[in-house]
Amino acid sequence: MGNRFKQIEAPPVGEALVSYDVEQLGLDGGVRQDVDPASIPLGSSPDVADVRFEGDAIRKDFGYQSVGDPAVSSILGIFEHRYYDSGGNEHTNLVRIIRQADGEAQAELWDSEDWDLVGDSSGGGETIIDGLVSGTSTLGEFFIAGGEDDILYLDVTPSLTTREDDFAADLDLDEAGDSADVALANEPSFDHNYTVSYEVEIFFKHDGVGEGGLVRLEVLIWMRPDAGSWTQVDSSQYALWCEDSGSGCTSNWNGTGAVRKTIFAAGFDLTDVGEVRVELDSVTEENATEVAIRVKPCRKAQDSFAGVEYQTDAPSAALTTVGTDSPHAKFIFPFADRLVALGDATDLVDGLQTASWCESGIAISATNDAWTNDGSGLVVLQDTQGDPVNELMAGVALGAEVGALFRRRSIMRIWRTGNIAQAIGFGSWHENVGTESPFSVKPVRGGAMFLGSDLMVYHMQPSGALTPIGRPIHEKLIDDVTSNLDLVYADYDHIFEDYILAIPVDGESELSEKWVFSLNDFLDSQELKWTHGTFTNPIRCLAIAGSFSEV
Amino acid sequence: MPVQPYVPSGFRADRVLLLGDNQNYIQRVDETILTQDGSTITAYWTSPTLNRQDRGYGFTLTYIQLFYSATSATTVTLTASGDGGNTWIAENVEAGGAATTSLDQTSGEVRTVVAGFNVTGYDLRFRIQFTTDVAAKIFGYSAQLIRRGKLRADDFASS
Repeated sequence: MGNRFKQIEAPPVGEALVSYDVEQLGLDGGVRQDVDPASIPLGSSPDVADVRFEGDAIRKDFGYQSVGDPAVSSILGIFEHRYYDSGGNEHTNLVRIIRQADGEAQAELWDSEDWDLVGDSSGGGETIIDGLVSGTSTLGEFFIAGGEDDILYLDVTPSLTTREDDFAADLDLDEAGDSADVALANEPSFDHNYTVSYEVEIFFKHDGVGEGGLVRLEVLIWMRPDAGSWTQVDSSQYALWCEDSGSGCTSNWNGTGAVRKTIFAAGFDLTDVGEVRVELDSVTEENATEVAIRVKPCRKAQDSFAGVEYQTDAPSAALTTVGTDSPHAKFIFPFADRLVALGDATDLVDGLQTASWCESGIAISATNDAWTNDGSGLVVLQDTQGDPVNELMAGVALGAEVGALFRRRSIMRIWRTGNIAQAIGFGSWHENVGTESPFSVKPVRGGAMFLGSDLMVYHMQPSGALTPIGRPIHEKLIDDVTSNLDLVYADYDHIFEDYILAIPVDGESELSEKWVFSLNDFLDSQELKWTHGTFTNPIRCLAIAGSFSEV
Repeated sequence: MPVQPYVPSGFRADRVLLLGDNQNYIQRVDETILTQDGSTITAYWTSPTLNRQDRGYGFTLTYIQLFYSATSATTVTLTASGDGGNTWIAENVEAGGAATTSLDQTSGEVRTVVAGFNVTGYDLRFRIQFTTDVAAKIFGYSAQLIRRGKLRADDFASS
C-alpha cells in the first residue's frame, strides 16, 4: 500500500522543522473505545486482537489444544465436580454435558485420556430444552438444570472395580529359574493393592541319611510398567522337613488353596503396572530323594483365584432427578448452604416466576423431603415495577449471607434470614438493570460480574454497589452483540484474576470473540483494563477447573 | 488421577481454562503454546493516535523504537498508518527494507530495536503484529513525528 499523504505540504519556507518524540513505557492500558484515540493514554489501544498483559508489557495470548474425542452433539456445559467420599478421599470429576437425540442429557467424565460416557437421564424423561445447561457442584453433589424439567444430579459412586488377569495354562514352575508372566489387561488408574496367587506343592522322601531331609523353595514376584524394567516386589520361602523314607512327605501350602501375596508397595508407581511375573528362584535339597516340586500360578477357571487381582477406579454414574417431584428449574446456584432453583413454575401456573430452595445441606431425596422439609421453600416472585415482563434469569452468592437474583430488567437482593420458616429473604435492589445473559453472571473476587441488560459489564459488590466496568468497550458491545444475549458465556480465572466474557457477534449463534477484564487492576487501582480476542472455531461455553490430568 | 490441592485461602493451587467449541471439542488453554488447536493466532496491538499536538497539521512518522524481551529470536511485523488505521504501510517498504522486525533472544534484559518509516498523514498510528509462535513481550515504544504543513481538504480525498 502506498503512502497517499505525501502530498501534504512541507512547512513554509523559513519555518523551523518541528519534530516530536513520543515515548511510552507500559502498554497494559487496555482497550479504550469510549473516547477519541488521540485522547486515550499512550499505553492504551483502540484495537487489539489476542494480546494479553504480562506485567505492564503485552504479549501474544495463550493458545489452546483439544483434549480427547469430540462429543457426538453440541456441548451444553463443562463443569468441575469436587467431592469427598465417605472415606474422606477427595475426588474430582470433569464433566461435559451433551444432549442425546431424544433431548435428554448425557454426562461424560474426563478420565485423563478421553471422555467416557458415565450416565444419562434416559428413562427419567427429563428433557434439556435450553441451549446451555446451568450446573453447579455443591453440597457434595453435582447438579444440572436444563429448562423446565426437574433438576438432575450426577449420582457418582466412586466404586472400585475388581479386575482379574490369569496366567497362561499349564505354566507349572518346577525348576529353579522357571517363571511365568501375565500382562494386565486393565490399566489401574490409581495406587492400590495387587494380589498375586499361586499354588506351592512339595513332595520328597528322606534319603535315609541323617535324621531327616529338607527341601526349600524361594518364589519371587516381579512387576514392571508397560515399557520398563522388572522390579522384584516380593520374596517368599517355602520349606518342608521330612523324616519318612517310605511313602515320603507332601505339603500343599495354604491347604488345597493358593498362596495369596498382597503387594501394596513396590518402590515404583503402582498405577503403571503392565506385567506381573512369578519366578521359582531357587530350590535347596538336603538329604532328599524323589523330589517333586511345583509352583503353579493360578487361573480363575481352574483354581479358586485369578493369577492377579487388582482394582481400577471406575465410578458408576447416572443422571437422576433430585426427587420425585423436584422443582422445575432453568438456573440453579448455591446459596445459604442450599441449592436454589429458578424456574417459571409451569408445574404450578404458567408464567409465574418462582425460586425454590432445599433444606439446609440436603438437596437429594427419593421421597422429595429435601424440597418440602423445614428449611426448604418456594416463593412466587411477582414482576417488579421495572418491566412487566421481567423473567428470572440467574442468581449468585455474593457472600455467605447475601446474594443477588437477576431478572431481565432488575436485580433482587436475597439474604439468609436465619428463620427456618423462610430461610431466604427476597427484596428489590436495582431497577432498570438486570441481565439477559444468565451465564455471564459469575462470582469473582469482591462480588460478582455480569453483562447487564444494557450491554454494560458490571462489577457488583456484596453491598449492592454496581460499577460499570465495561465503560471502555460499551459502545463496541452495543455494536457487536445484536442478538442471542442468552448465549453469552463468562467465567472467572481466579489465578490471573481475569473475567472472560465470550460473545456472539453480529447475530451469530456461537461465540466467536472474547473480552477479558483484569479484575486485579480494577480492585487494586480502579483501572479498567480490557483486552480482546477471537476463537478460530467459535465456542459455546467455557469453564475453569481446579485440576486437570492427562496421560 | 492426580488431584491438585487447595491452598488455604480457598483459591485452588492450579487452574485450567476449558472451552467447548462448535466442533464439539473441549479445548484446554495452555500457557505454553501459542496456537489455537494448531491454527495460527493473529495477535496485534494498535497504538492510539500519536500526533496529539497541532491537530490541524499533517505529520510524518519516521521511526518506531520498541523495548522488548523474547524467549528466543523471533520477528514481529510493524506497520504504520497515516489515516487512523484505514490503510497500513509496512516498515521500510518504500526503502526496500524488510517487512518484519527482528527481535533477539534475551535473558532477563530488555532490549530495543528500531524500525524506519516514512508515513505521512493526519492520524498516525502503528501496529505490532505477533506473527510467530515465540513468546515476545513488548514493554513500550518511542516514536518520532515531524510536523508537516497545514492539512487541506484534499488531503482527505480518497486516492
